[in-house]
Amino acid sequence: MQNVKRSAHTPKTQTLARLAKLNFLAFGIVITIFPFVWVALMGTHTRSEIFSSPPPFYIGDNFIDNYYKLLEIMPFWLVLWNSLFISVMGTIGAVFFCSLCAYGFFAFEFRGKNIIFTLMIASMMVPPALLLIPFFLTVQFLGILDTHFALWFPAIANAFGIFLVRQYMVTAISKDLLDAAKVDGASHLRIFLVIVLPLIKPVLATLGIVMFIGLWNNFLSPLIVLSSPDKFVLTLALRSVQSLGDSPWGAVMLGTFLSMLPLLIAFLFFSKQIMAGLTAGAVKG
Amino acid sequence: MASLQLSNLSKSFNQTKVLEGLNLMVPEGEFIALIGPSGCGKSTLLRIIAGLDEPTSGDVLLDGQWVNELSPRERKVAMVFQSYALYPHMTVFENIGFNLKISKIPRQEIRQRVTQTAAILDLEELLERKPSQLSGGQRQRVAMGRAIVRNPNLFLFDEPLSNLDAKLRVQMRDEIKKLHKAIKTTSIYVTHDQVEAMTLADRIVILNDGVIQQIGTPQQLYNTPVNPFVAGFIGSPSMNFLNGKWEDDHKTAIILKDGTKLPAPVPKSNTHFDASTQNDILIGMRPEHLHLRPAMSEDIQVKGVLDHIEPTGAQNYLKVRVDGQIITATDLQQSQLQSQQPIELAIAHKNLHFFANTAHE
Amino acid sequence: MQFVGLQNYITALDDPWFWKSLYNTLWLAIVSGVPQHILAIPTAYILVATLRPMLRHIISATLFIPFITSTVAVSMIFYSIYSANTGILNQILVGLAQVPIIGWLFSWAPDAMPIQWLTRSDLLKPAISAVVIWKYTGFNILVYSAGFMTVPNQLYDAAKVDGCNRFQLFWHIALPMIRPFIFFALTLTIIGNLQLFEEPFILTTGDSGGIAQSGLTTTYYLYLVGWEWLEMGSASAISWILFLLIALATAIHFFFNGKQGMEGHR
Repeated sequence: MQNVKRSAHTPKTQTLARLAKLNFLAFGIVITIFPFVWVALMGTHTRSEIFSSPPPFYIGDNFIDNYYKLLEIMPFWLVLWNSLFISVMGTIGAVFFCSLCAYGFFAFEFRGKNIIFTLMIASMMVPPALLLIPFFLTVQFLGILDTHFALWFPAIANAFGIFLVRQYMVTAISKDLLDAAKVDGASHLRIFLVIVLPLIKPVLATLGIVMFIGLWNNFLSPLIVLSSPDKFVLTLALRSVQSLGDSPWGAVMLGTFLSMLPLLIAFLFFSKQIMAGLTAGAVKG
Repeated sequence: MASLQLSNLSKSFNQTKVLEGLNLMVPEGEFIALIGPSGCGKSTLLRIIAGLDEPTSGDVLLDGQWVNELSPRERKVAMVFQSYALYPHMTVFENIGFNLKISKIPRQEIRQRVTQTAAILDLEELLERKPSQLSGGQRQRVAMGRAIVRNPNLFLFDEPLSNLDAKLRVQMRDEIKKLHKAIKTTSIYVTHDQVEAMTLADRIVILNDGVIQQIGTPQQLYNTPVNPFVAGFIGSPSMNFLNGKWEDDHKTAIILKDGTKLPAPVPKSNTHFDASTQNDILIGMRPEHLHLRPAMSEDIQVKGVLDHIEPTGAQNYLKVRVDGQIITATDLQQSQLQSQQPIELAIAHKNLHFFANTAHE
Repeated sequence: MQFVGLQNYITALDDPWFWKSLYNTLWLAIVSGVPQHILAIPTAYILVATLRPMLRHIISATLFIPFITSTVAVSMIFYSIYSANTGILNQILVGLAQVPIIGWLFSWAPDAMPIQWLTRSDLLKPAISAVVIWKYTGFNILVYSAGFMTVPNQLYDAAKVDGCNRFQLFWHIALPMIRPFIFFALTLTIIGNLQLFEEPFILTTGDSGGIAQSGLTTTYYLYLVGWEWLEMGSASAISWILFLLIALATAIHFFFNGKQGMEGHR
């Protein structure tokens, strides 16, 4: 027993390995967080402070001035409202429409159902960049260029959303339950509203999160649809002040930070749901 | 409460026939068990009666009224599902009262009827709980409560006890029996468990491959099965079957493959089978009718070699090699026997069943 | 509208900017794609294998933040960070040169100043890639964490009994087990990276693809042709070629990785 070989994992090497891992993670976290901290700090500094050396790693006192400067270069609150309006309308619409449509795929048998469902899934594979031109031409044809309607309404019919909700229904609601409700005398509308909707709340939350974040952060469709500055959404307004001559960087960074703030705060409280939602397709494979 | 009549009912999914030419008359207040192996179409039949599926052809009548195109709601049927299908987000009270609420019954009356139902089923303490907080037996009772609270025309059960453990199943079986005695609603009860069917039902319908094999009281099915399927399906352990042929053209005796001679069947008054028209004959003997004793008058001797013994506690099942196959006999005396020992079994004439042997056709 | 045959396609294929955009797109797709996974897989493994659930969630949530924030906002921030004269990145590099012990690693930095991250054709693409990697690695970490969590502990125990060391556990057990997740995450990266638009667009202030068009991706070019120069016909041709490129890349990926990836081990 005396000559037992020491294994490679002595306490010392183990601690070292653990230390290395933690350092690696800490480094990743710093890199991840830094731009957010930096943008918040810059929002409180004057232009000359931002561009001074060494850089100002502290909270400055120019927040109020930056705020007024921000309102000067863009109608910040109007633009924020526009973003909010489009995101909320699109989210509510998509959640309701997708769950209705998913119920159709779930509860009814009809000729061609599988073909339609497969086509719908296939449509999810088409890259969004390819859809840019047809989307634009349709919007132009309908005469709704430069309207918010063109941004939230098309978002309502969402193949991903329908697919997500239907898959959830399959796992969460047994056919027996639908039959039981039918035997109890409920109509389909009633079954949908009273039995199905309460039972699929989690997936509706997931879909809502995905939709809201996507609409809030959307840039490309507003870029090609909207032309009047008073209809701009946050992303568009921010980019429009990027190339101002002699940019008031403090104000621009303040605006950038404020535009991210709603989602950051929501993430603080609902990180689990948001992460589950945005990886929903991935994790369930 | 209502009577139910099915006439010439058929159902196909795509090209597959699930039910074929079904006729059934259920008078008011009767308890009918639908029994058959899995895939025989019994659940489909129940769903058609409920109005959840449509028959491909044929008629469903409730109290003589044609209801093919009526929804479950209009038929006023209640159903207990195998999975119970309780609404997971509603309390027991809301589950039981859901139908009444949909039927726009005043809240006062809903409360009164639900409470009354809960009292019958011993659920009063659980009314505010959600289904997930209930045990299997309690869920079962809620499912029952949801059905009886409505005073339905018809009570439909789709294997309601198959998710319970053995002990609870017996207990719930008794409760269903008591319940039916008390409220006497016409009931259709689907099961694959023959004991459940025998103990609960006034009459049993045996279904196989979408065709009704026999309809009758438990006693009738046991005593006079019309075909080998029914004979083998009812009774436990299953009936033994031996193949035989007429010894000669005089049709005085039947001879087994190994040469054992059996006298020709005495035509029973209620028999359905004319043995003399057949060449190949299937002889059925229930294990409990085969006795380990020498033959007496009115008895037939069956000789064999003991293969092994299956003890079950109360009795032993003797596995005996006869005519190149193994048959089972019940030995209530639990005699001391040796494996490979020659055995003489006796069975009374009246307990022999004869069927046409259609396997060779 | 007038039918012009394949003219739009010929115009596109004759256009040197278009070829430049294809080259940039492929370059960015690879350089901003591969590191995401090389970083995400070990990180996810460390998170799942060594950390308690609570800590694991906090860390992966933190790393996930870039993914939920708007690409425009993020690119605006990086636009300022990359700023040549007084951007924080250059300032940090200069500062690091003065730190003891590791200072020699950055001794080149003061002489190189000011580094024109966004206005030098050789630095623009790496700068864009860094933003893309920064933004999407957290997402991949989450996907891979979910993958590693599907590996049953008994499998690790069995491998330990068989004499695997920690690295072998990772290499022979964990990695093969998450193949379906790698396949899926790679698919998303390929499709997503071939459509990069917002990062290069903002970092070059939307100005004709940056210096010498070195930040011009195909989607970017599609936008310029269609909405700045108002030539929808050529833009359509470009979008179809882009679609073919994405389909081809996905098909190659499926061909080489699909069989093992789709089969999975679950």
